Amino acid sequence: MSTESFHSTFNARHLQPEEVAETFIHNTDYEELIQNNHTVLLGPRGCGKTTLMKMLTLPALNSWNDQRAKSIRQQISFNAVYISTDIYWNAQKDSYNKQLSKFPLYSEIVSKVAVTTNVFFSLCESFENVIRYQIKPSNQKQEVELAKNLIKEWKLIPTIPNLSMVKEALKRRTDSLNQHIQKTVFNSSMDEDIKITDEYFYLDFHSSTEAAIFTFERIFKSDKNCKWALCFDELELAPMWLQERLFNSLRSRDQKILYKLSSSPILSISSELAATPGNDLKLVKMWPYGNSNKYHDFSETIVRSLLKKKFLKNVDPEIIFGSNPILSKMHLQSDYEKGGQTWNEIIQLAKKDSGLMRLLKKEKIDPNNPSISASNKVKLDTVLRKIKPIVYFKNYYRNYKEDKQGRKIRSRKSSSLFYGKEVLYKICDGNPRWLIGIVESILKKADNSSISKISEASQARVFHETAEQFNNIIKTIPSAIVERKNKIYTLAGILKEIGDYFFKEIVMGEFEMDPHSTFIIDDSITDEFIGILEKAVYQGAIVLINPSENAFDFNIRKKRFRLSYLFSPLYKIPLRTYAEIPLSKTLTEKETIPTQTKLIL
Amino acid sequence: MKLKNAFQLDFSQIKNEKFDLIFAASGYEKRCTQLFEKINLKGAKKILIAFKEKDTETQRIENDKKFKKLGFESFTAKEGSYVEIIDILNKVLEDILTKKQLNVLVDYSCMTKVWYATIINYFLNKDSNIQNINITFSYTPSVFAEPQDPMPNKYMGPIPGIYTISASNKPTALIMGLGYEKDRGKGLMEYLDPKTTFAFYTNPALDQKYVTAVEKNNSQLLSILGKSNVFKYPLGDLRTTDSLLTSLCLSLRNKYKIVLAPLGPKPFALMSILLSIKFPEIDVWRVSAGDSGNTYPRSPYLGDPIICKVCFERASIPLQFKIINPEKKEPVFMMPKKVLEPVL
Repeated sequence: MSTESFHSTFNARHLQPEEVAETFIHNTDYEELIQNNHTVLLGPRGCGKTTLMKMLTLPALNSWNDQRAKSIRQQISFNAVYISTDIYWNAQKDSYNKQLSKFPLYSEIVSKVAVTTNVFFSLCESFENVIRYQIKPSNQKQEVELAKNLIKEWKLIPTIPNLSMVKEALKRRTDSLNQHIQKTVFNSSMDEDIKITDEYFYLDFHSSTEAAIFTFERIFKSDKNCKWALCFDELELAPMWLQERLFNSLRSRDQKILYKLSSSPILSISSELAATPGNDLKLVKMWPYGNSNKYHDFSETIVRSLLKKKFLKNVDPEIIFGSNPILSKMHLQSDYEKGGQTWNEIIQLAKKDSGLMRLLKKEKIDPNNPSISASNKVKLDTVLRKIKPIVYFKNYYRNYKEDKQGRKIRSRKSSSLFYGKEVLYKICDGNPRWLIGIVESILKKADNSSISKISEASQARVFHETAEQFNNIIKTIPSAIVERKNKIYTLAGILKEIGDYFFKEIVMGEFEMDPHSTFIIDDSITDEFIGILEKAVYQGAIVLINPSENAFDFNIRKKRFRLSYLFSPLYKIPLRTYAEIPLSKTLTEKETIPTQTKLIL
Repeated sequence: MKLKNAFQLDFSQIKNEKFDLIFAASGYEKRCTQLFEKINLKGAKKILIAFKEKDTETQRIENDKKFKKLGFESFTAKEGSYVEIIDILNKVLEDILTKKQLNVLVDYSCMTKVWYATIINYFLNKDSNIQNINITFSYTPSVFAEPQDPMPNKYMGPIPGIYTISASNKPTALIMGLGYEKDRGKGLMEYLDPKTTFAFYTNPALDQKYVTAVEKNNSQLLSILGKSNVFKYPLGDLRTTDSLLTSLCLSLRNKYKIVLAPLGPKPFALMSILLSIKFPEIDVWRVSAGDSGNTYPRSPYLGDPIICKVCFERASIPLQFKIINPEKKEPVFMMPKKVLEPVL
């Protein structure tokens, strides 16, 4: 990871649909998305929403080399129109667009023209794809007729009537819009001063799109029962009017047009405006929550495919990454038996931790021999398994010290607790982009010619570097700060406070069987902090544990979160969810509130 | 208005020039007033824009006094305010806009990118009688000051007016001009998440300590990008800088949406803004810690300022018909064949 950009390792945004299909790995989220209904994908940045959306398009579906591809192509009963949200659509909210602050009506019109023009552009691409993949042989006369119609209905400047030139004319429209904005900003002082003579300013993307689709179907005599799906990706970046309108449109039932939307886990719109999920609207939440192990198999499939790419044959991930003693579900029995690794760890800690000693005695487990005998076998699930990660972490990190440069200065039998295939599957929270980045970085240490385990220390280094890089990204998020008097509170600083709090409690504090590792955003947290914590949700830095069941979430207040597992190597906390605590308690019980000098990069 | 050409000049060529209009900025840096102690101010309308931030610093008060003595009409604006600059220009330029020719001097040494980009955009877009306008940009380099730990970003995005709404799904190519604060460039790259990234940094510089600091504080980024994506430019040689930047943009513009992000010395930022005027589909971004930004003393360097004269003329045909033909390579932004020796 140290030689890669954190996000760019594999970002579907940069790839053509055909390229996305080359490495696409099917999962249950995709099964939900291809159904013949409105669908909303919710998830943090990098969780694979764009990949799924692009995999709805015909070029991707027709390039996908998978045994399921043929049946899925037949199953999908809509033509997808992929529309990527552009941050510049947000003509009112963002500070660079404050230039239009004197013109509230005009700025909304500009935003709508930008959206409409982009939808038209994407629709043209979809028309081209349908002609290419479904209407063979294509008839040039039909395309000319369609283009003439679009030029007229979309109020385009006269151009050669084919779809390629219609797209060129749409590009020119944005040039013209940009010039109009500049002239307006410097020569008008209020909305009433602005002259809008071009009719295209008043086109509506939905009705114009619907009309264009009917025209297409009439001219090409295509299947009238086939629906069209407008796939708006990364809606959290879109202007509020568009988010409100699209989430409201999900109520419609008798539609020619379906909506496939992707957004952040928490919606910014008002709760009254969104449709209620049901038969006609499916929600897909693309992160692990509750006790879900949803992404384990998906992650394993990705890892296996990367190993195959590297070694040109199927390789068991355990051979390369080994198994992690804390998370492994194999050889459980021997692990807790006399002489087993966990047996030893418990004895070792019990000798120096009076809290564990008390707990074991209370549970009638012999601290000198916590093996699975007839008497304590029943305790395996209720006690030993539960305390296992805490025992390992306390043993490891209580003897762990860092010098001023953050280097570990006391060596132990194991270089870290973060290695092994189980860590790999769990630490990424189902985020394929992170997983691919980490695996590729670890595999750089591997020798192509020999298939053997990569050292635990090398793996641990990559996990740690990844955590640091993720932390650096959080530090650079603009406006993720709260200013009070002479102090600046940064998002990265707040996350560190939380991580340090949990470390002190889980690792350094009195032994607890169920310590705190999650937090509830309580009423003591002010709105300005809520604002920056929402950015953390979008980045995947904090993970919503209790989302509303089959419903949207509109607010992070009173919700339960944990830190992304990706931070675990940095804050030295186990990859496990324990009890909850009010967030304010993790922040205010500190002796020192983060100060400006402490929290800067 | 459209950009006709641009020249790098020697300071001696503008020292005695008569300007119609002069813009200066007053902040806490010592170099703010340096230029005006050695040029001809006679007959010019003199406008001072002073920062609303950090206005109680001793040097700032000193600078304000000097500007007042030199006869500047003073206004204040926030560091990132586009609207305030337009309001100031609307207030003071009514008479000026009736002229057909205009000769303007902008000392951008202490201005923010938003300020001088807005001044340029104002003349390009404001309805006026002006047919030709020459804007001379002057930059007084400073003595090296050690970099400080970067403050949290308050703003990361396009400069108002230097970005365009587009209707294509082209991937982004990020071209950064690196500064010397730690990992600012890498942070922007992670945030913007471009498909491809290039970095420029000044080498040689007036003081090689600056180059060492840039390389040290961007070491991770430079290693990620590799030699093929990193370009070095001499600080005082605008022609070379422009030539490198223009060639790169021309090679990328058909395939990518280009974002220029000048994070370092201001002459690179000026070149970036002028390039985006030449090719409007190029966006220019800035990263700012706003009023919480670090304070650097920045004393003037004992040498001549770096001068760039840019000529604009009224477009003879409506701009919307000026479609750029991707097949036809447009001439790069013109510099004179004979240029003066770099300041270095």
